[in-house]
Amino acid sequence: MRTLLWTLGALLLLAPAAVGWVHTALRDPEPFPVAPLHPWRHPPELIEGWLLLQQGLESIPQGESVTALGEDPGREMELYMLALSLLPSRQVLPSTYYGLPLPEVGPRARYILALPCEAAEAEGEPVARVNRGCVRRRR
Amino acid sequence: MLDPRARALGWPLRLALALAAAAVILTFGATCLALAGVRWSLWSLALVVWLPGSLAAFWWVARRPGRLPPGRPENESLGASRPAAAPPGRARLVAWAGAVVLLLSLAHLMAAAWAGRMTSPDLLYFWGVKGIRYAAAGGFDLELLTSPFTIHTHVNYPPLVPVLYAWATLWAGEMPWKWVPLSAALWWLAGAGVVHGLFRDRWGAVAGWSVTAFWGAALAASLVHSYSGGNAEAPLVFFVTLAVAALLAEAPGEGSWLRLVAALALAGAALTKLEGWAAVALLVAGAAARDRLLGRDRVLRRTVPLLLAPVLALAPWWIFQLLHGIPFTDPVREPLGSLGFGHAGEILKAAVLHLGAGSWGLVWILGLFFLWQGRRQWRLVLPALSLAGGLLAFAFVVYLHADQEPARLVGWTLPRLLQPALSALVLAAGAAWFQARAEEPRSPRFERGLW
Repeated sequence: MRTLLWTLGALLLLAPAAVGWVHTALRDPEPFPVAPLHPWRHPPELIEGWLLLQQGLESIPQGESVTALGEDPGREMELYMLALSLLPSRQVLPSTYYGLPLPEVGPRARYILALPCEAAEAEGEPVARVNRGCVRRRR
Repeated sequence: MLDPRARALGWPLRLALALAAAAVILTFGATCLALAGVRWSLWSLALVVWLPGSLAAFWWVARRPGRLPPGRPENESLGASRPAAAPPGRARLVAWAGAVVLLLSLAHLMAAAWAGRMTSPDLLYFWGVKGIRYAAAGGFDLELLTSPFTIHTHVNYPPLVPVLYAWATLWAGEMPWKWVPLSAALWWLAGAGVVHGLFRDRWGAVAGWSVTAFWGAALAASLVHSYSGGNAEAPLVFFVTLAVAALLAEAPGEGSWLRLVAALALAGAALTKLEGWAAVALLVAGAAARDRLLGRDRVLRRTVPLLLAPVLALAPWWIFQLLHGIPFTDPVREPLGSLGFGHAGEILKAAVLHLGAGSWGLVWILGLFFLWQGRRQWRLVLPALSLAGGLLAFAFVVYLHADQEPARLVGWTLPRLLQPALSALVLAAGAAWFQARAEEPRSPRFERGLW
């Protein structure tokens, strides 16, 4: 009987996962989203940024430069970090880095990723719109 | 894999050992290529794995006859002091139940990975970027590693995971973001193969299935809970598990093969994460102390390779860093040694709140219970205990460096940081429990396997 304690313990460890998946089956309208991020487990800002980059990718030609503008320095930094991942063949320039504004770096970029769109409303022309975010091209 | 003792280990363990060797050799070889200025490609990287792999195979075959333990048949497995076998009925029940637990754990892990529930934001912020950029640059991308605007990618981190992602990107043509978190399931499977193979070999089939099922359920829950899909946590857990299991499975006087496995695993851990370096130091100290306490011979001679392998594996990367001005410390982190004890209470409180490990904390309670049952074997499992306890202390010291929002930092990082400790605790408990059972006076009930 003592040996079976290990197996019973292992079965017990599965209980939280089982509860979680039952909850998912009952409540989650989209249990397997297209993005590698889940709305129950990741901040909405991260998912929003990911979707903007994924869907706005085609509107930024390869080799072009791009920067990120957001409603606060933290969002700009996050969007910049994601852009480095998702736009590998573009030159990604930060507008803000760890809260430090970079007025001589970001403005050199030809394309702007703006989340929300209003963050770059005065700059350039719109190229694509994804939910609350935009891709804009400077003239 | 050519050693007759390795052939007796079963294919899950042999595949896991092949994965460990391939990952270490690929990383080491790719770094050497970068040092020599040779561009990475599918062919050049294939060569760095194939060439040393073949040389090692020849060396192994050449040395084999003289290295077998005297008087042991070639197909005999590693274990020298396993307890009496359980009766077929009981053993079969444990095996079936263990297999079901492992399948359910795997399903949990894979479903969570595919649903994006365990994706690590660090995959998107820096692990993936490095892989893509290294693949595009055909080596370590110096622009990325030296730019003042990419220090968030932790440029000083060891190279194993980015090298593997670069290699995968070269194969796939692009980074398959949706699939990458599933790699955690591969490392978990390899870890389960290691635990099952080495525990079965040392303590018998019931021990193999029991400990593997518990380890599998615990680590699958923890990997999902701590967002370890696609970052370096799963490979680190795998390498640490391999090293701990190999050191625990050593029987007195029969350690050379397992020492080699442990040295390889420690090299992998050191190449994977900075925490791997702490794991190496703690495990090596624990193994040396254990051997000394148990009166095993040639302690120093058997300990040195454990330390030497990680240093040799990392040497090319350190040289590369030195030659190209890549910092050795993390520019993002607080300077080493700037401790502040003002937040100690807050850190401890946050730590207790984040010990759930995806199992409501049950894994710690049950693990400590099993360990307590086998407490008389504490010397035998000292390497694992040293790692588990030492990592807790290491984490505390790391958090004392945080000068802003330490509770938030603890909540975000502790569940990941403690996974190697969790694995070590489970393995220590398993080894202590089943060794204690093996040393119990053999009652008729024991002889019938009803223990």
